[in-house]
Amino acid sequence: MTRISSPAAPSRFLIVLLGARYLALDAESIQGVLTLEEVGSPDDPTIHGLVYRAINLADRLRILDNQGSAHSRIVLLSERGVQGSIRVTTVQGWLELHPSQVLPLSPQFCGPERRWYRGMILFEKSIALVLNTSWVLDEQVASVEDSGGQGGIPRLVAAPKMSVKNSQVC
Amino acid sequence: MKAVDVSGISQWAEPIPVAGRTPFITSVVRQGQTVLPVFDLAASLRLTVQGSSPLCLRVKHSLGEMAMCIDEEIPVLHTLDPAMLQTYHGKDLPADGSYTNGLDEIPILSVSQLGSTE
Repeated sequence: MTRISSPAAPSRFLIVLLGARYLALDAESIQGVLTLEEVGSPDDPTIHGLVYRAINLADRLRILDNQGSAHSRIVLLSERGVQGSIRVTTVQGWLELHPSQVLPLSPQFCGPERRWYRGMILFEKSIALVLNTSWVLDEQVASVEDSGGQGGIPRLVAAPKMSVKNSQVC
Repeated sequence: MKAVDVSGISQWAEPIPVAGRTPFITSVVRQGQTVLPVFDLAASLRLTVQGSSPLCLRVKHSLGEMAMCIDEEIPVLHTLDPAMLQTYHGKDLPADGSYTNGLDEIPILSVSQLGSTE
């Protein structure tokens, strides 16, 4: 008997907007999408007895986000027994794609962002960056990455004093 | 830069920011089904792009093509005799040499060295 290899199964993503940037979240990690009213308190919402630790994704990505929108949603995430919740500006909808439609992040991006994103998706006339849920939920990584920073946004820093020759670490 | 390093010139499109920490590479541009990382050459040289209709210079790089925003002034093709090439002593940018145009020394940007650590 010959085994016939089946084409890779499509993956579903939730496309959200955060600070005017499209982000894609793997549907397998999403436990729910709630309005602020449904959540009650956005600080560590507890749903069905599970605490979804509030993660300030805008802060971790250094994205300036005006979180006061009536369209804001709380996305509940869970992966390998770790729960967390993020607040997004709006939810755009679901997208089903074949793995080949997830483009790799260009190798020129060689900082910690390589761990932040799993790739890119062409979305409308723009792109959506596919978030690495493991990184989002990984508090230890966040604390290490933020150890040199001041915390919070907006974060104003001096222009890097480096020449174009020393512009990158790839 | 050398013409062989250039793969195209087009109108500059609004870049799509990518939150990250790679110096001078903080956005991408989408050209149809292609997404190119943007190297912010102007910022790396502490200059500002001139003109209201800047151009997109698509360059070949060992890691893949990149886009750079340049002045709206249409680039001019110069043919140089190799004998005119000299060593560029400036430290402001990676260069494959330079040539003299009047009183000006024009560095030849080394695309292959953009982003390399020295």
